[in-house]
Amino acid sequence: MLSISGKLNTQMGGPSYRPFTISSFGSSFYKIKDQEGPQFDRRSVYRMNVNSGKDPLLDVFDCPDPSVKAPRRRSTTTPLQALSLMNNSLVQRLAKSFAGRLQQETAETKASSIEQAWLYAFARKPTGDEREQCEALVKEHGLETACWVIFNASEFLYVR
Amino acid sequence: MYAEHEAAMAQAINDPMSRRHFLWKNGVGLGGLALTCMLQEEAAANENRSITQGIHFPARAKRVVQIFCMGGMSQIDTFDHKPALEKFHGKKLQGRGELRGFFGQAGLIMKSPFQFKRYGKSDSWVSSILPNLATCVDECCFLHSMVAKSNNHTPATFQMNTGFTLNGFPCMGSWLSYGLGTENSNLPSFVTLPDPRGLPAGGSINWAAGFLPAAHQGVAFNTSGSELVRDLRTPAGVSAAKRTAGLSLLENMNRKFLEENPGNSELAARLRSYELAGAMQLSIPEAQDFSKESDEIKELYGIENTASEGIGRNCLIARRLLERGVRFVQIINGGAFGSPRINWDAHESVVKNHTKMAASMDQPFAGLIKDLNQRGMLDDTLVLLTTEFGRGPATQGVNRPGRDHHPDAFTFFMAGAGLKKGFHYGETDDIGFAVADKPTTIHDFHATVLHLMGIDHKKLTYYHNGIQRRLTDVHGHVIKGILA
Repeated sequence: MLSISGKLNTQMGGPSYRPFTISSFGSSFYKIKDQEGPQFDRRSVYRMNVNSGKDPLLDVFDCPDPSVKAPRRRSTTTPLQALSLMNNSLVQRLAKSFAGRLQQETAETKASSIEQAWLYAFARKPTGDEREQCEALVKEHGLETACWVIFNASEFLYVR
Repeated sequence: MYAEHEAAMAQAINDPMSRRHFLWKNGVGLGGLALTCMLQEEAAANENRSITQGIHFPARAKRVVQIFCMGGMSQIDTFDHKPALEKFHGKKLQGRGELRGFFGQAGLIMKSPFQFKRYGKSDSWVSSILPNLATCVDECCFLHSMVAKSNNHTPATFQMNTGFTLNGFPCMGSWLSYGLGTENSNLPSFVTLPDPRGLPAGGSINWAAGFLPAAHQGVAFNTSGSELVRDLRTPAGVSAAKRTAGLSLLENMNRKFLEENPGNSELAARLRSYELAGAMQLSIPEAQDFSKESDEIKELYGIENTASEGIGRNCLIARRLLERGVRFVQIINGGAFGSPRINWDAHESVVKNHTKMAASMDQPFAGLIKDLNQRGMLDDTLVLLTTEFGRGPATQGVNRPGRDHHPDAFTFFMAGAGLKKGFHYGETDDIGFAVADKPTTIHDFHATVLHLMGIDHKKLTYYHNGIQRRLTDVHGHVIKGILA
């Protein structure tokens, strides 16, 4: 999502980012905070992960506990994952960014933004049906809604 | 290729046995619940025998509700009456063995500041701070000889929930979800109701699935915040029409992708997961909608009373969730550290702290037991009252009426399915310092809960990093003496 919406910060090395706030009462307490900014759009290997401040979004998608070795990442399919992809604030933000990117790029090239979206997300052009249905959706509810659909699509989330 | 896949799919769907293999092949789990938490329910329906009958032997209980008294509830000021404390009051605590308090400043022995009375046919002692639970003693089975490993809240709480003092292990609710699956498709099988005052020590680790698949993690209902479950609601700026139109295109695309990739069970599960997500958006708020509950019920749970309103609401939500097929509901009574204290951690004053904490849960929890009983649900529901450790018979420091942590002797009670009623198991010494008879570990307790749910704790395992892991590690004996 970060990648195709043009938000991925590819900076390598350096201190990791902290997606939480810290308060202290005898010991430190970590509270996950939804924060915006390029420093939070780095690869998750640069994310500081604390045991008591786990990210519920990553948790829902089987992110291993940071205190144990996980030789193999589990993969499950649950309704809570669907809810996260539907409603999580990060998904909404990135759908907006993706739409912005498409609009900006296609304004220069005059190409179809839907076609461009399909190329970024699925590495193929939309079929006639898809194009027609998506155009209708964009006309009524904006390109951002189409980008939200793409982020939720099985074809986007699964490697063929 | 295509036809072969389709034939396999069709066979899997029509034949319950091969359908089960189909499920297993694609997943990781036991009890046929592997790949998703929703297909298994249909799979179970296809079999003659229901998963709720237990997996190793017949289950006595179908569901569990646990109230966890965070902070360390004092045994000698609640259910473990020790008249000898009067005799030793003000004297030094000597010759009783190692003191395992947290601050290590044992003062003088202190009698309970509360009056004890006998209640019920079972003649059970209960202190004056729990007048409502006192009326439930004939339903309860008390364990007076509990011992914990740690004298520190967070590890002790982890042990209470997972059997291990370190984090990274699955909670009991996760093990039950993994072993038995779910009885409903539009609610999670393991729900945690944190105290509206705050999260417990260790936060979300207390309902984590550890190394088990994420489907088995507890879903915390944030009953104090604006959003009951994270990401449940459609965001504010998205209209219903917009969301419906988006979902409609999404379904077409996901359906087409499944058709192009036949036999891929995960893709089918994804389609279903969106249907269930939609159902959850309705069923989760419905579980906390009390508009159909009578005033008598609200009063029974203490919702009308400011002191007990928060836990009262959570107890009533718990009953509603249990009725709707949720397997394990954990109600947490108390948050983490803070000042003034919002849990049972009575370092400064037993009177002030325990009076307030008891008032927050006594009526709600007693109401829950009575309500389950009047609905006939106590026959197949297991009700648990737990804490991470007890409190010592001496004061903490001199001239300070508080008690320090005490992991060497404390009290739990269990009630409901398959248990002796009005029964007391195990004993502490004359002052409640050490266990005098039948020491019982958290592992024993966990083994017993699994046993009542039809699970052999030694056989419910999950392979992780080279070990067949269990809830009870390499320990635990079913407490046979309390089984009815």
